[in-house]
Amino acid sequence: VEQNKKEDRIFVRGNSYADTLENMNKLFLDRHWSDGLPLVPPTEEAVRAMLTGTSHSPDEAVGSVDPSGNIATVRTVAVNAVMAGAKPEYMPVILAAVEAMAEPIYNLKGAAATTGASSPLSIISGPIAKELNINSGQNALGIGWRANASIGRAISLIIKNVGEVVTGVVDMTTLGGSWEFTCCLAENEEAMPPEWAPFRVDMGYGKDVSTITVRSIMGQLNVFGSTVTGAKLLLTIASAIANSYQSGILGGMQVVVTLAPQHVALVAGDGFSKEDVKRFIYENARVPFNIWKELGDSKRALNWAPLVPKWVADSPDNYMMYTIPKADDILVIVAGGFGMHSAWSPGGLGIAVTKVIDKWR
Amino acid sequence: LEGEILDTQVELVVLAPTGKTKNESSELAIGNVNKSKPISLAQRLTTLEGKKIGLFWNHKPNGDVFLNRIGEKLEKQFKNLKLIRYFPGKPRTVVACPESMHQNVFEECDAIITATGD
Repeated sequence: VEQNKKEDRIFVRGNSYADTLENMNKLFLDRHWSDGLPLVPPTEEAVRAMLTGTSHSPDEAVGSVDPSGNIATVRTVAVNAVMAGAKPEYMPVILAAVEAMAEPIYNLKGAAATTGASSPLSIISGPIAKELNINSGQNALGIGWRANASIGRAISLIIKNVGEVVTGVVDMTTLGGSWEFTCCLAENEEAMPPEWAPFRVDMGYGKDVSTITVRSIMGQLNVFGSTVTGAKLLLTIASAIANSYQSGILGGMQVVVTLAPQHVALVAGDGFSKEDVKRFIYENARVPFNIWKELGDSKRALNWAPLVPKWVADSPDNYMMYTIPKADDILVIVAGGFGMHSAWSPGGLGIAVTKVIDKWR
Repeated sequence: LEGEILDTQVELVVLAPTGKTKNESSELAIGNVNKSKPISLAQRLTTLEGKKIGLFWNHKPNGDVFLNRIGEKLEKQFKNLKLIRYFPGKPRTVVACPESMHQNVFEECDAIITATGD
């Protein structure tokens, strides 16, 4: 193995193609440039082909990627996209994701380093989802779909390789989770009730553009319900959030609620707007103060004066505490296929950031 | 035959997937990245006597306890040391400290001690 430092070119040799590939993967693992799965070799030819997916110059800086704060250029993004198995046409999506994660408010520095398994969920909303065949339907967050798998993987590799995230040195995650490998879906607009606006509109963008929203999450929890009313379903979701995430009130975390098509039809059919859904979940994701006091971090939190308002500490035992700071801290998306499974994701560090994909074409 | 196998060595030329440091990237076409000045370490203080020392809490549990203990020790050790407590420092644990707050702290203190992690 030889590396020409100036040009970042690395020469890997072996006695056969398979042997050379194995050597490259071993080398990339040794240098902490891998997620552990085999990588597609980022040869100059492959990177050149990847760069045809955008009109932007290879030397253009896309953003500074924390924790290292190093600059990801369009070329750097392309190298990682090749490694992840992406197609050139996915480049604008990955570039927009990097631009989004570079916003300080996303807090990649915290998310990548923290003990929590905080890693991005990428939500694509808009016409590009169809164009690129990004799965928004059945098993959208599951296995077997090239666009979803490789876009999410490219984003993870960029965090690792440009952000210089080395386990046990920079990344102090206690346990981690599978969503750190890849976690990307598109919004299922076909299943959207006609009176509901798409997610990109919630995030302040026009209906005609395509956007990507990145939000650090700490996993995804299934909410099953063959319920007969929208309110019952939303209560089930609120209860799931309240009971598994009672410390949410302390940090101010945005949560993501992903409604499956049949669930959203049920909810909208009962007259709930998207705003109503957020408010209903917010109002019902509450726990009795006397129970919360006995749980987890609460004793420590009560001594943690500035974070727990005095009115909470002074509340009667039967006071119902909110677990989500405000209704707008619930991001509601529609995704998935047939079946009665919705999901919610506990928020990790930072807040959601949305960028327009089209600008990177 | 063995010789022939050895001769068929395959070479792959691949590119490193890493980024450029801000200093290295000065020649890049800068899109939405602020072309910030290269970062260097601040001038070290030669003594803490008579200095204003900021204790900047990151809002995580027990960070205040930790910083207060350090403050007590420093006050014993150095004359006329003035402690400025930023409790709570950051408005929210989960988001980065706003730039304006950094600026205040820089202007008010000669040196800062921060608490990070839990």
